[in-house]
Parts: sequence; structure tokens; C-alpha cells
Amino acid sequence: MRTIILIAQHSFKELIRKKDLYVFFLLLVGIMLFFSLNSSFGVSDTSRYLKDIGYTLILLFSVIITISFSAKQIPVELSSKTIYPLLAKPVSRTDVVLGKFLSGSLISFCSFTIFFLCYIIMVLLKGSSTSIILITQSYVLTLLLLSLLSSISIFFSLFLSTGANVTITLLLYFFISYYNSMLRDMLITAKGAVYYIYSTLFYLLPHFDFYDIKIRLVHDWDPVALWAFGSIILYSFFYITIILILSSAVFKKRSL
Amino acid sequence: MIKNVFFIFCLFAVILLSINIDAYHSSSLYQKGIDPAKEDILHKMLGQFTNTLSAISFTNADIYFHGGIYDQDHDPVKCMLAENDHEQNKTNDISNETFFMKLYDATHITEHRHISGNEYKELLPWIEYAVKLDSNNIQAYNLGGYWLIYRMNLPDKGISLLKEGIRNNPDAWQLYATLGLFYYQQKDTEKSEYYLTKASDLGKTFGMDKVDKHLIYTPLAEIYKNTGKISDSITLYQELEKDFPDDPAIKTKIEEYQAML
Repeated sequence: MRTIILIAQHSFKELIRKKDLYVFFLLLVGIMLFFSLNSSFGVSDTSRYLKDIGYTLILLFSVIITISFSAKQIPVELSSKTIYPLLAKPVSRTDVVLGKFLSGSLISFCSFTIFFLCYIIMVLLKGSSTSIILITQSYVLTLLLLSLLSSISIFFSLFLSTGANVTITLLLYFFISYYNSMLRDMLITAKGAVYYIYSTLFYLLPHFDFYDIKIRLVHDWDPVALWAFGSIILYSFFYITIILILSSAVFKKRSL
Repeated sequence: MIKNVFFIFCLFAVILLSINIDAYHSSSLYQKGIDPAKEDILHKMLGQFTNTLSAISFTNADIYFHGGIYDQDHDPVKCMLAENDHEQNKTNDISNETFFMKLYDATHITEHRHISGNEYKELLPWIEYAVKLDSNNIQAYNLGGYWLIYRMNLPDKGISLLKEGIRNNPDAWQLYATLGLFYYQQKDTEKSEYYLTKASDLGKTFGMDKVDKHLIYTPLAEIYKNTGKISDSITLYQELEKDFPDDPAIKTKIEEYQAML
């Protein structure tokens, strides 16, 4: 465990030196300030569009940071050949995968927490009231989403180039987020062999849409039911575990 | 030192010159009848993409009206102009679904709702962006004007938006109709007659359906009757009768007004 944490700390320090986080933060503050100062037709206390745009931005920026940073984790070690002294120590390949996953998740947690705090402050300054339960749920679910994306990105990084990995993971995220409801509708009406194809896709592909509660947050709907919230947490742990086991197995078989 | 001063002087000269060029450019655009607002940096950068962004903003207004839910199978304008809630979509039947499907349904909102009361103002930013990005988005002007007048109780802002829409789209009979109907409700006969007549004339040229025709002709016919133009009023009702031959109210009006001649 100590080894995994050390690998994570090392990667975290290396990644925090890069400018991506700061650029996205300044961009977020700039865009949110621009929209928060706007008053449409003299009505200044509108806040939903600010909540909407702000949440979309923090999610997008966090997803980009998570995928791009996680995708580089193992390839950088391989290309700079630092993997060899690392594996010469009493560190297994599973430890390396876990450490890289942890550092990718840590980076995404930190960046999202900074973005989220900035978002909440600006939304509150605009005079909007939001349920604390919804704020907590959206925070926890997004952290789980970022962990899931980090694990998928690390898995793809074992057999794809960094560019291809980032593109495929981002496409996967956007396609599943937007088209999962369509897949569900097709599954309900499908029959025969088509039903099994849709079922496989529906149950196997990661449900990124489970984590998006922007509509509830922005439009003041009720929070996600407790049983569903707990189920999503369990689903995330289960899915991440499977992906990490697969990653570890692939990495073990790989010749370095 | 001299070089630096010369450089700064040149820089200021360029800035001052560019301001004058911009001012000249704008004024000449006005003379040509082109909206200088379309020549701003956003329009220059995005080009025709602003029209797409305007349509997205308008769709967002509809989504906000439905509490964040997008239903592509309905007409957003008719929906948002409706005084009462329209027929609601059926939610998905989850009676024989697996646990995973039930989890999916628990995280996704399928309920249909319309915003109310204090929430009305939340649509305004999207309507504003829709008309800012595309000054020919007549639907956005019309809906924004209606929304400000009737839902937000801001008639001055609504009238101002509708008039801006008319300036940018002089052939938009819908905007004249909305203004005319508002003035008709306010019992401002002069303004109401002007805008409804314009709406009627433009509607004949550019085409309007029989429901819109009924909406415009009926108050206009009543204005004509009240101002002593009985024969004009009868003409309008007779035109309406062609589209609504079985409407007894129109028949009664024609008979009643013909007796007054």
C-alpha cells in the first residue's frame, strides 16, 4: 500500500507542475464572471443558466484533465525508461497500475474540487439557493465518474498511443453520455438476436449517464433516491475493480 | 529613446485610425440598411454559426421551460405560448424491468413539468442570446416579447423587444400581430389597428395559416366595427367564413353587421 501511495505522490507532484489545471481554472473563472455579470432585459437575479453553463464547464474541464493525465501515466514511464528501475524495486506490475490509477484519480479529484468550490461560490454569489444534498450528490458522483474514466484511460494506455487513447476515451464518454437513453429505448422495443446485441451493449458499456445529475442540480429537482445513489457507488467500485484487474493482467503479459 | 517614442506614437495613430475606420464602417452599413450589430466581433468570428447558436439558445429556452427536459416531439412555440399545460408525455413503463433498468430510471428524469411563478425569469437569458446571435430569429423575438409582456409582467421590455424584432425583420407579420393583440387588450385602438392591419397585409403576402388568420382578423374586424368601418369589418368576417364555413359565430357577426349598414 505504501508503494502505491508513493507512486501516486510522485506522479501527482509531476503533474501539478504542468499548466493545464491553471489554464482551465482561469478560463472557468473568466467565463463564469462574464455570464454572472450579465442581466437579461434588466432582470439580474436569473441563476439557472449560470449553474448550467458552470457545471457543464467544470465537468468538461475535469473530464479532459482526467483523461489526458491518466492516458500519459504509464506511457511516460515506458518512454523515459523509468519503469525499469521502478520494477527493479519490490514493486509488482499490479502495484504500478494501481499507483498510476490512484495518481490519475488524485489529480482529477483535486482539479474537480478546486473547480467545484469556485463554481459553488460563484453560484451562491449570484443569489441562487441549491439543496445541500444535491450539491453533495453531484460532488460524490462526479468524483466516481472521474475515477471510472481514469481507470478506463489507464486500461487503453496499455495498448494505444496517448493521442488515440485520449480521443477514444473522450468519444466513448460523449457517445455513451448522449446516446445511452436511445440505446435503452431500442432495447425495450427490440426482439430476437437484436435484443441480445443491445442488451450486451447496454449492460457492458460503462453508464456515464448515471453520474450526470446536472438537470437535478440546475432545475431544482429532487435528489437521487438513496438506494439509487448507493447502487451507483457500488456499481462504480465494481466496474473500476474489473477494469483495473484487466489492466493489471494486460500489463503483466506485456513484454517491456 | 526616440525610437520608443516613435513606436508608441505609431501605435496610438493606428488605434485612433482603426476607431475612425470602424465608425465610418458602421455608418456606411446603416446607409446600406445592414445591421452593424451583425458586424461585431462575435459575428465576424463565428459567421453563419451564430444562427446555429441562436437556434440552440432558443431550444434551451424550451428545455428550461420543461425543467431541463428536452422533448423533441413537440412544438416549442405552441407549448410555451399555451396558457395551460399541454398533454403530458407518458413516462416509461418500468413494470417488468430488471434492477439495472430501474436504476437507470431512478437516475434519469422522465417526468413532464412546466416552470411556474418565480421561475419564468430563468428563460430570459436564452431568449436574449437567441436574438443577439441571430437578429432574424423571429420565433425568439415573438416568444420573448410574449413572455416579457404576459408572463413576466414587463410590458415595456416586451414591446421594446418586439419593436426591435420588427426593425430587424420588417416583414415578420407574427411580431406585428403580437403587438397588435397586446394593444387591443389595452384598448389602444389606434395602435392596435395599425399593427393588426400590418400583420394582416403581410400575412396575406407571406402566408399564414387559418388559425393565425382568425386570431388577427377577429379583433381587427371588431376595431373596424367600433370605428365605424362596418363594411371593412364585414369583409374580414366574410374572408374568415371561407376558412371556417361552419362557424356559427362568424355567420351571426356578418348578419348582425350587415343589418347595421
